[in-house]
Amino acid sequence: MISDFNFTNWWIIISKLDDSTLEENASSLNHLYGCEEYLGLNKLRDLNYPTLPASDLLLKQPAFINLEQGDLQILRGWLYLGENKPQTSNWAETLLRYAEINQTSLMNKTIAKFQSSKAAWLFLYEMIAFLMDNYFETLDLRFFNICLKLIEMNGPFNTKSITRTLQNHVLYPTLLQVRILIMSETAFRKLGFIDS
Amino acid sequence: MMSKVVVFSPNRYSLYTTTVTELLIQQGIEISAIFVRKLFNPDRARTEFQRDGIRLIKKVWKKLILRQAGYHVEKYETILDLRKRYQINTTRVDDFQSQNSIRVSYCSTLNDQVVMDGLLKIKPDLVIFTGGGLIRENILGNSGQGVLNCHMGVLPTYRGMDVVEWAILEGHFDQVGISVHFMDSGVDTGDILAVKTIPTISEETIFSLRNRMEPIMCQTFVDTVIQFLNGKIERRPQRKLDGKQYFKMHRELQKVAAERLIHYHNNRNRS
Repeated sequence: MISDFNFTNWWIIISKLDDSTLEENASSLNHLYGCEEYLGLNKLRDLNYPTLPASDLLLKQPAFINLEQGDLQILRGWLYLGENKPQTSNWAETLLRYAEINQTSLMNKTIAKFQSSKAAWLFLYEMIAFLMDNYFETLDLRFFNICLKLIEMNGPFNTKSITRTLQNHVLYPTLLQVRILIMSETAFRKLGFIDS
Repeated sequence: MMSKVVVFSPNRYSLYTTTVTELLIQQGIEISAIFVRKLFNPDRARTEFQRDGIRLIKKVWKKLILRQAGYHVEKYETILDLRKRYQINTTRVDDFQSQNSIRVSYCSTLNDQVVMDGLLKIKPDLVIFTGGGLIRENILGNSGQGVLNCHMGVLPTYRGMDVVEWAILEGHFDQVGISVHFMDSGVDTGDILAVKTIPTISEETIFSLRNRMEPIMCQTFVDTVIQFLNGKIERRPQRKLDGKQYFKMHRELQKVAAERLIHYHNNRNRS
């Protein structure tokens, strides 16, 4: 956990990104469920949700093996737009279960699926982002629980490396990591707030 | 009572197995055999480490190394107090073989052929599960009326792992309890026989709550078995959608759950 981490510096860099970079990476930063405001960060200018590409996702049997990285973006889009709710929820439950049961071997299984560790990490960040969005949408703590485990799967996210990447060249996976950390920090603070 | 009952045990030192088995014997239940998982087995260590992670070390420390020494005198009744009350002195499952002439067989997993052969020979009316991992359908199908388990959670709502913590984290303090149910191919989804809620008490931690639940589990389990064998209670099927499957809780959420329990009691005491 990076509780009490100051996200301001990251956010300053992100706020200064030019329009085209922001649009290119819109899927990683849009609709943060009010988390940025909760943490006292300025709301980013409205990013249009990318038009969801035509997809055969509705025809796919919910299973980890059948899922591509693009599908996860579509699932997050559906979640945000409130479309195909039963299917989205079915996918979320399937991925939750798969990730829980295969937690120790998930990385190897993902690398085997994509034949590349870079693609595997991107897929896993996208999957955590979907599960995290699902938590904020449903407030079902099981989803936050698996996100916490997946974030730590290979050691916690390296905040120094994220800062370096943001300063040098913005990369979509790094922005996804920022999204995940902002949302997980907010979720924690909200859980604490309810109690105090 | 002429029913033939078989017991499944997670290891030869299980306090839970010896307590439940002894209570059943005291109630006049005939135990035909006990199948015990062998403790030292690399496959078992790997599977349990995958499931429990670092917590496996704590579990081994408490259940296999400290055993009875891990319990202290408490305000509430612990499993040791219950054993004292019922004069239960059996500390190892093997003792049932020498003291009660019950056949005790060892197996790597409860799905081994030795278990299957034993069940086919004994043809039990009921199997009592006191731990030992997942049970395959062929074993379930040859266990008479089925394999009964006592789950540390209120079914059908709280299935799976760490459900005491999950009920507290979700603020469902009235949903802490135990359920006696039949095992099936799902996780805690089989027919329910009994559910008992256990209200949390002031100044209680999750650790002490779990300790307090142990003797209640043993007694409720035995009472339910007897009532079921006497035809006094019926199976209540669960619907899949009536509950959710929970998994091992992340340590940070465990901290939140622990704090919630303290706040819950503080608020209740104030009001």
